[in-house]
Amino acid sequence: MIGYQAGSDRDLGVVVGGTLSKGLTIRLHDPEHIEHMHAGDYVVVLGNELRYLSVITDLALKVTDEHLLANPPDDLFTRQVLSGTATYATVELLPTLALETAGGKSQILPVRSIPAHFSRVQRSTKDDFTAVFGEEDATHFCIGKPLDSEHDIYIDLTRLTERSNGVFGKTGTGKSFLTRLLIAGTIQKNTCANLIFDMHNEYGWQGVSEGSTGKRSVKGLKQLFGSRVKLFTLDRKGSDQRGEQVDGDIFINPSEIAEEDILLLGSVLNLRETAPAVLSALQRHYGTHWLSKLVFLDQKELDTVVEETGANKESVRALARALGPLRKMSFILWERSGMAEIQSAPITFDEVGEDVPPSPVAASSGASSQRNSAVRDILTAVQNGQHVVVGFPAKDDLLSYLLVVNLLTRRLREHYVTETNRSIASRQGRPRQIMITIEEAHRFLDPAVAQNTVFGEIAREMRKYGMSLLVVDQRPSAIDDEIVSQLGTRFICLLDDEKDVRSALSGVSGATRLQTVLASLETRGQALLIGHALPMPIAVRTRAYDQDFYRAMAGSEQPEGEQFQSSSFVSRMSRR
Amino acid sequence: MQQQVAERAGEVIAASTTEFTAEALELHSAPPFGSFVKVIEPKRPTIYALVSYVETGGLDPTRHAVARSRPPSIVDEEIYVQWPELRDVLRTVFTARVIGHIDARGAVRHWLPPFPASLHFSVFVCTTEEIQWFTRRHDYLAGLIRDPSGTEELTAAAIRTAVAAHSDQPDYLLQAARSVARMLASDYIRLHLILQSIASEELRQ
Repeated sequence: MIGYQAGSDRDLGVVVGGTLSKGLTIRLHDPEHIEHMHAGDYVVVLGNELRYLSVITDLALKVTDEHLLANPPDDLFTRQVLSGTATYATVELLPTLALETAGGKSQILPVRSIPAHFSRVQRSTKDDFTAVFGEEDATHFCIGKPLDSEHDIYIDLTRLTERSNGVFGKTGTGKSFLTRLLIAGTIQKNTCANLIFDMHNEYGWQGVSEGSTGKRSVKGLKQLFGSRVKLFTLDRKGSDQRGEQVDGDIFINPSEIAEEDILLLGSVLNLRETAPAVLSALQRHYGTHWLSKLVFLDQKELDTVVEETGANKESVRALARALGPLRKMSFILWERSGMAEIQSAPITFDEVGEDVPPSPVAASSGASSQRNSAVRDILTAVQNGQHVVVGFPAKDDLLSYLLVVNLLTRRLREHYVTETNRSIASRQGRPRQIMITIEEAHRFLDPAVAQNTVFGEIAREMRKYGMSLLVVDQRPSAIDDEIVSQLGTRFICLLDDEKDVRSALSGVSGATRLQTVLASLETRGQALLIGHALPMPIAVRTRAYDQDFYRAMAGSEQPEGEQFQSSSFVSRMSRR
Repeated sequence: MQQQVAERAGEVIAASTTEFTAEALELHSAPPFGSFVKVIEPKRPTIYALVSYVETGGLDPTRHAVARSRPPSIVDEEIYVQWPELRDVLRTVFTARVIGHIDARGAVRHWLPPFPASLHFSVFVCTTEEIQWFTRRHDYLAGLIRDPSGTEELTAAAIRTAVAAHSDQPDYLLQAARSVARMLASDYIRLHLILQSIASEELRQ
């Protein structure tokens, strides 16, 4: 009899065509079954020797004769007759990897061949997933379940932290939950140190879940891991109001702020084109005091500066005005009294107004020497096997965020480069691998600034120095393509904008086909996982962040911080 | 169920590999269009065929029948009473399309037999059991559909006959129709004609 006969009840269909580059076409035995096939589901193609684990990328309805479309049947009998004969359904598959089973053991192979015509296709089993994603162990962490089954999917956190990674998705898709989940995983498995720039204060102490039942609070990393997580803040008042257990404040010495930190703020501060030249001239002339000098510039001094540096007066004035908002930043230890040459009050700029808060150390310059540099505190914590969350003012203070994130990361990078080189020379242990989580990542990685910021460099080439980024953003298209394509593992929640989708998938093989999978994700709690930490791309329902999760995290063992701690390293840091 | 006995229906008067023509035993008594018939020969495969054409006319092809009714009394059957010799000068012949055979091992084969039917051998109407046995699979329909002279009418008639012989009629009808749909996958217009002719009014609601 003509037609395809199912080999087993589990058979969904057979391979009827395809190419290695574009994927396989499957004809379903029962076209009615099409409603149970979903983009992103996993199936296995039973080749003669290999099992090809494949993801569904597209579904189609076909007819054998176009006349049928012009005269669709209007009775049930004809529809029943035509179903699976003249009308049929096909499924497009992207084989993601091949499993070779020998002696009861499965070996994962890259897909370099395709199965023959009429190879049978079945739903993938728990064994398939276990063979590919492994099981819970010292480095494997459950990240969720496939869209169509209840098997746990594990991600290799060691591989994850080896490279920079990205979490993308539009607002409200569960980016923050996924990010917190990943960080919790790395803390639990102790695969790296974490430095988290918590722009919206949702990782450190507690976060907010916006579910169908309304908003509810969920535990942050500090609540989950206690002393293993150090919570620093730029806004002690706000932290106290939120009832957070803060471990320390972040203070920045103006001398730590470099030219590039200010230039990165260009778009926020509306810096003129002349700003870089003026900054260079001032820095050359006044050394580490250049910023204090500029921010607290008075009318009289303006003339002196212009005279001494030879810079254009208007440009200097404009720059000083633009930098006015920095004076409001209470976490910068402005040492005005230490600058003997400042005699009069600074120029009052309209933008700054009269409400310039008193600088925390303006009245007591002696206090500044007792305050640790934030960089040193963070490094000490990291080397002690702890993880650091930096909280920011509750109001979206982009300026503070950009400045602090860039500055701290730049300093960390310098230390890591120095220490790694030192450790190679002295054959001692390397500094502990660190993953830096940044929100609003496009601010640091947009094509205009990525070449110059420390983040571009970390994403591109800091792997060998033990630093990586966890880039969290809702607009991947605003991030430099080169950076995105360097990301090791990507966690992509639903994205609407086509540019963002293309960008999030740039450099991924089979990207156009995965776009369909991405577009089919639900608006919340689902993500497409691709890259280095996973043997193959997979769409998952992310692991629930609930009491079970809390218990699993609470049961994790304390890390052996000593193994990372190099006493000489910390003491060297303390001397800086 | 009592075993039916195959009923003799005619005698082969012309034969080829794909069809044979037989003269009905009596005037106007050929087996119905689309019925299953067979020719049994010793040491030869039993040939199965579908009645595809029935014709009644004069023995002498050069002489045409003329109207003989004399209303109101001599009409229809009364004509034959009035002129009984008509039964000797008229004859009914039927043609049957060969659809398969039973081979030497007794297996049903839905393809053409190696030899045509022999002239003057008897043609029998198949019993219900035989039809059931022969039409368990639907491959015999492929020959009808592929035949350039084959008509949708004949295919539909064959299916109707086969369905009537099976006890699970709705299911059998669906399976047969689906087989035809696969055979006519690229010709929906022909398929549609056949489906219209085999489905009852209720099924087509």
